Amino acid sequence: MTDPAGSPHISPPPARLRAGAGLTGGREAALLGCVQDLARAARETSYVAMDRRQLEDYLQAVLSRLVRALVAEPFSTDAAYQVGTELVGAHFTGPEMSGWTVKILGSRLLPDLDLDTPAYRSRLAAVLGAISTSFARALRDRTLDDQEDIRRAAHLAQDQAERALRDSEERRRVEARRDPLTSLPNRVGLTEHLTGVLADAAPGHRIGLALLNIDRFQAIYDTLGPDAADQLLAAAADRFRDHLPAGAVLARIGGDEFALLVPATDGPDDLVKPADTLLAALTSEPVYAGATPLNLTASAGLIERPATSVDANELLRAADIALSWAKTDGRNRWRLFDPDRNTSDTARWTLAAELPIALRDRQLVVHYQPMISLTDGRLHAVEALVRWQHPRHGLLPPGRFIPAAEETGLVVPLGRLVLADACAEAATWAEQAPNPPLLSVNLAAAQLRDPGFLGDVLDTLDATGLPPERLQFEILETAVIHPDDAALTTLHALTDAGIRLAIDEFGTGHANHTYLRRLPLHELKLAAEFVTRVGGPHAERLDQHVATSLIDLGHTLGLTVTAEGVETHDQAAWLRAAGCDTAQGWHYTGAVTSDRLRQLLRSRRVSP
Amino acid sequence: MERPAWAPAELDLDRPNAARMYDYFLGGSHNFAVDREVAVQAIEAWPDMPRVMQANRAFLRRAVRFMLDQGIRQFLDIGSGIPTVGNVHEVAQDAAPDARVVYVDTDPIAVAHSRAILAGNDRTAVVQADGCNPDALLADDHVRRLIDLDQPVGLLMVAVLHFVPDDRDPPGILARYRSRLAPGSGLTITHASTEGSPARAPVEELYRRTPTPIQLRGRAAITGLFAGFDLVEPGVVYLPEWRPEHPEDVDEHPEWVSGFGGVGLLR
Repeated sequence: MTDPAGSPHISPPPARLRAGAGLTGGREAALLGCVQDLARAARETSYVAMDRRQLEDYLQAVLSRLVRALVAEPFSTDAAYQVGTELVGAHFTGPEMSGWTVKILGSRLLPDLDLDTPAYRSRLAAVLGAISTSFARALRDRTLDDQEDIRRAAHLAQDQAERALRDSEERRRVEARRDPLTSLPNRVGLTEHLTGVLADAAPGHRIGLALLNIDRFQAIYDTLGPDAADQLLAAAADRFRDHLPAGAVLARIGGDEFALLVPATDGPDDLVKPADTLLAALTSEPVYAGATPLNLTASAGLIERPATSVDANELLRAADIALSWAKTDGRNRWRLFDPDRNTSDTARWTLAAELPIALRDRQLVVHYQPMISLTDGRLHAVEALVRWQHPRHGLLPPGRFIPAAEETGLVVPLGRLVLADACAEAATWAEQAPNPPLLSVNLAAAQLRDPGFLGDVLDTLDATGLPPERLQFEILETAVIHPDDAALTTLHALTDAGIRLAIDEFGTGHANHTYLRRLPLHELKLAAEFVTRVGGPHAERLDQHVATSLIDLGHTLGLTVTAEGVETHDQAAWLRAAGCDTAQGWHYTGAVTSDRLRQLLRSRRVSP
Repeated sequence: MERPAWAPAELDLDRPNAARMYDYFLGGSHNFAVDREVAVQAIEAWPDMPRVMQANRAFLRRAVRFMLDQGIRQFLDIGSGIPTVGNVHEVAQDAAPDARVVYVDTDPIAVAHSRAILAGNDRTAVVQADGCNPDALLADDHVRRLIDLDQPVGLLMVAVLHFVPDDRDPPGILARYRSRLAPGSGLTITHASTEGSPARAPVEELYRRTPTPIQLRGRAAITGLFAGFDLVEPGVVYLPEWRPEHPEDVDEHPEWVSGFGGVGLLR
């Protein structure tokens, strides 16, 4: 290969061919064949961004320079070297291009120019060598540059992809913690925030959390549809946001449930005030779903605690319990979490949840408490009292589970069960005693409303063979103060069938007793609180007057009067003197099992 | 779109890529071993491959010049790939220095490289986007900066629609563009075809290794892509046959190129 810097020693061509500055027109024309051959080679070996004319003009110019160099004195390959570089620069980069150039120029240039002499052949060889060398070098440089460019682009793209990935992960992280409708933190966001505050809490740090729930939102959703409901929620969120105290965090943690986090409190007031403000803000003016104004209210459950003693889930659960209190207490209000209320609630609701199992597995048993005649000591009646033989808690009194049963409606099947058991038992009492006592069974308001109740009672009497006149129902005064027509009809049907009716805990429900005249009653059971202070050294004169007037009222209406909760001999003596007919209580006996009751019946005696 | 707009694009340097293979076929070195390996196999299966690519590139030049002659001064080059030689802005700005060109490609490397090449040319821009989502693309800031949709646009779909399978509905995509373009706009399409080349199967197979498998279409289907545009003479033809710069540029058997091209104008 020829080194362009140190040109080879080549003898000069004949003088006639030594050219001046340019080529003659004749020589230009002579080059045309070479130009066309080269153009064809170029087009076939590379993509050249020129049309046919541009390409030929370009190659003509290149060749002219080569020819000038070929005939120049002193001879130099510098121009030829430059041409090789330029061809690469003009993208004549096909791998065959260099070879074709050498071949075409080597075979036709000198004959076409009429310069085919040994001296020019020698010069041409040097020129072609320089072109090949510079072409190869330029092509290699270009390849390396291209490779560097594309690798740089790849690195750049990779950096960008990684940055985009990081951004999108961050975005995803943020999106996962944000509610898209309101742009507030969602449950995940709130929990994370809460956990962070709790983790950083120093001793003495207190924290407040309120859960806010739009009242009766389901009804709004059902009426207006999901779009309007969303608009309302967004508007409610805006309303809350506008009244948010500094430092507090608002979140939307469920459909219509929001949370207010006060990260640092000095006491419940620091939570109650902002929560109350939010509730008031919501009710202060209508919230719009589109153009529809709606008056919204919300309920809130609040918990305020030392931040070092709770975790996020406990706080959320406590606030949720307090929220349920606010709802059951009538909505549009807040309730602060109270551990005592929670404990009793928890026990009650746990039992309520287990009650269906108790019914299925017959864990409920009936105990019996006698009512004794104050005149002759006879067994007047026996009250059936349900107990729960709980597998873990032992024998539970009705007060532990009847309220829950009433709330869940389970009191109806429970009542049916008690009635069936007690009637079956009472039907056997005639075998134990010639004048068996009445069976007195408590009746819940829900049972009275149950359309199947009357039929159940009559079927049970049929099935057990207990005569209707030996069955008595005890109804709470509160259940019959305003009886509806259906309840009245049922009560009359019961008494028409021969069944007796008693008012239970009389005197506790209402001051006005005119309702008594509308009911087909047989008996009054005087509430224990009127009995407690009527006898003995601590007897109260006022209590005695009240008790006397209640007993008289019962007698005026032609009813048997029974005193409940009689615990002492003095009380019994006073009641007997006051004309009370029968008495029930620990002074005689508590509730006993059916077996024990049969023994009592056989002995015809009840202590004392 | 199933994927959120902010999710990062795929970048897999271990897979051959159509844009870099195209660069190799045109004699460029903006490619990696993994691209060259598949490109060489393609050339072995179909030795005319580099000439086909050159013919495609030459078609692009003629089509851009034609559209310039129609007065179009803004170009949207979808699937622009790796800038090598004879890029749209070079052709356009050579004839009309005020011409604006937006290059669009999905491949992040092609985009990064294009941006490096075009740095300093404020009448060009490079957008990393999927040309199959016209509305998203036309809403891009770069596009809005350089392309005035009230003026004619030269929409270039050069050697790109055969990477768009039928289930992405190429006619629907083009209809979407058409609805956004002003009268006087031009559509240029070149498309690899089932007609012509005998080496169809191996090429299809090789492109299956890239993120953009190829779907060849017949001349009728390719002609159908111009729906709503008035095809200019000579219609959809083998690439060298379209308005050759010189009669000798067309040989007797142009079907060797196995690809069709055409230009349509929007009335």
